[in-house]
Amino acid sequence: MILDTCLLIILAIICCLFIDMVENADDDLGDRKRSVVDSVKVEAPIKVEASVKVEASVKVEASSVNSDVWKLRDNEVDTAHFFSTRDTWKDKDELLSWVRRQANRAGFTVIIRRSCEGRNAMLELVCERSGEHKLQKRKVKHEATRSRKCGCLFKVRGYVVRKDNAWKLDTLNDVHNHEMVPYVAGHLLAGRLMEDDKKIVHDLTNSSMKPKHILTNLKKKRKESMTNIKQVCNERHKFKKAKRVDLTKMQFLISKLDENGYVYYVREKKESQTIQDIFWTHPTSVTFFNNFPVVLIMDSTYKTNLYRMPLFEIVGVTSTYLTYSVGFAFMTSEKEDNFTWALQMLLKLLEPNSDLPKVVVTDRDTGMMNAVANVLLDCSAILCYFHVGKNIRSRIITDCKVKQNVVVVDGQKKIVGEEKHSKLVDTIFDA
Amino acid sequence: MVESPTQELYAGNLMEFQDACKDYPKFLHYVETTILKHFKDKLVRTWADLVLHLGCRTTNRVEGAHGVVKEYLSTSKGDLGTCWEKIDEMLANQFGEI
Repeated sequence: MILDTCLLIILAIICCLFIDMVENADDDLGDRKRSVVDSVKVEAPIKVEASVKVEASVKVEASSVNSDVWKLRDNEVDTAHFFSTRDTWKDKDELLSWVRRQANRAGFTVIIRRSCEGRNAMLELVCERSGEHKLQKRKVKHEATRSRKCGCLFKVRGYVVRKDNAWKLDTLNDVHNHEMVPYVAGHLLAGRLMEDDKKIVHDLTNSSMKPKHILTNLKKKRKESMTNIKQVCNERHKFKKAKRVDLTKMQFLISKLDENGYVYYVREKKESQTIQDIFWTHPTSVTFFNNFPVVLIMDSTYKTNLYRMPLFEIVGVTSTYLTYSVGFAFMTSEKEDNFTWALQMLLKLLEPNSDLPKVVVTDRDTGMMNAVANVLLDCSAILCYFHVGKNIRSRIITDCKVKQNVVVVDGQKKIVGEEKHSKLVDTIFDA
Repeated sequence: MVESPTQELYAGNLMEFQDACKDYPKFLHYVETTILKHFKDKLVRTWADLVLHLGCRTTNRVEGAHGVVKEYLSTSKGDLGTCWEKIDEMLANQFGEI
C-alpha cells in the first residue's frame, strides 16, 4: 500500500517536470540511468533521463521505500559507513566532537541545525553545505566569494536515551549531493579557532611569540586540530586591533607611556602637527640615572621601525659595572639639533643639585659630539677608539691602494703587492 | 700609539708611527690633521685616563644594548607603539637583573 502511494507520488512529480526536463535534457543526458523504473516495475513510457533532476524532492520518499534502489550519481557521496555505529556517548560535546572528527575524515564539516536541552535533549547536525544557494545581491570584495550552500541533504540526529542517560546517534540521510574535499586542513569551518585556542593565541602574542610557534603550540595541545597559519595571523591582528581600540598608533603610544608612568617628552614640528622627536625613560631608569650619572655612553641604531627613524639610546654604567638603559629617543634625523634637544631632555631628569654626567663616550659623529659639547659643558667626552681605529684602517687601505696602483701594473705582481699591503696595514695599525 | 699610558711614551710611539708611515705622506697627513689634532685628548689613553671613565673607552656597551633591543624587536617593520611595547618588556627584564 505504502509502496503504491509512493509510486504514485513519484510518477506525478516526474510527469510534472517532464516538459521542463526535455528542454534542459541536453545538460543531463550524460547522467546515470536510474534503475528505479525497473525495480518498481512500471511500464510507463517515461524517458529515463527525465527523472534525473527529480531526485532532490523524491529522495526522502524513495529512501523510505527501498534505499538500495537508488544508485548514486557522479557527484553524490554516501558517507554511511562513517556514521553507522551503535556507540553511545556520555554527553553532547563528546558526541559532537566524534561526529566532527568522522566528518573531517570523510571530507566535509557539520554544523548544528537544531538542538534542544532538557528532558528530550537532541541535536540535529547537517552538512555545512545544506540550505539554499543564494546569489549575492551586492558586489563583494573578492570575486570568488559566494554562498557555499547547495542544498545538501545529509542529516544525522543525536538524542538522549532516557534509560541510561547516554547520547546516541541516528542517521537520517547519509548522502551528500556534492563531492567531498580531499582534505579538510585549512577549511574555513574545520580550521576555525575555538575559544580556548583564541586565548592561547592572545597569551602567546603578548609574549611576542611568532605565529609559526603559536601554531605549533596549538597543534600540540589538540592533535586533531586543522588550524593553519592564516587563522592564527588573523586572530593576532584582531587582538592587536582590539587592544588599540580607536586610537591612532601615536595616540596609543602616548597613552601607553602615560599608563606605565614613563617620563616622556615630545617635540613637534612647528609648521605641522607631526612628531619630530620623542624621548622617553622608564621611572626606574630615572632613579638609576640619578644614582649613577658618572659615565654615559650614547649611540643611535637603525632598522628598528617602519618610519626609518633612528633609535637613539643612552646607557649608563652602575657601580657594579652593569649596563643600564637611561633613555630612548626616536628621531627624525641625526642632526646636531636633534641630539641637543634629546640631551636637554636628559638633563631635565636629573634632580636639582645632583652630579652632572662627568664622562660621555660617543662615536665619531660630529653632530653628537657638538651637541655633547654644547649641552654638557663641564664633562669630558671620550671617543670610541674602536670606531676611530676602523676609520683609520679604511683610510690606510684607500691611501695605500692609490700608491700600489701606480707601482704595480702586472696582474701577478699585484697579488703579491696586495699581500704585502695587508701586512703593511697591520704593521701601521699596530703602531 | 693610542694605548700609550703616559705622555713620554706617547711621544715615542708617535715617532715610531711617523717612521712606519713615511712612505705614505698622504695618509700621515690625514691622521695628523683630522684625528690627532682635534681628538687627541679624547682618544689617546694618556689623556682619557685622567677622567673617571669606569673602563669605558669604546661604545661597546651601547652597541651591546642595541643588540639586546633588536633581539626583542625581532622585526624592523613595527610602528612606534609596538617598538615601545617591546622595549618596555626588555626594560622590565633588565631591571629585574640589576
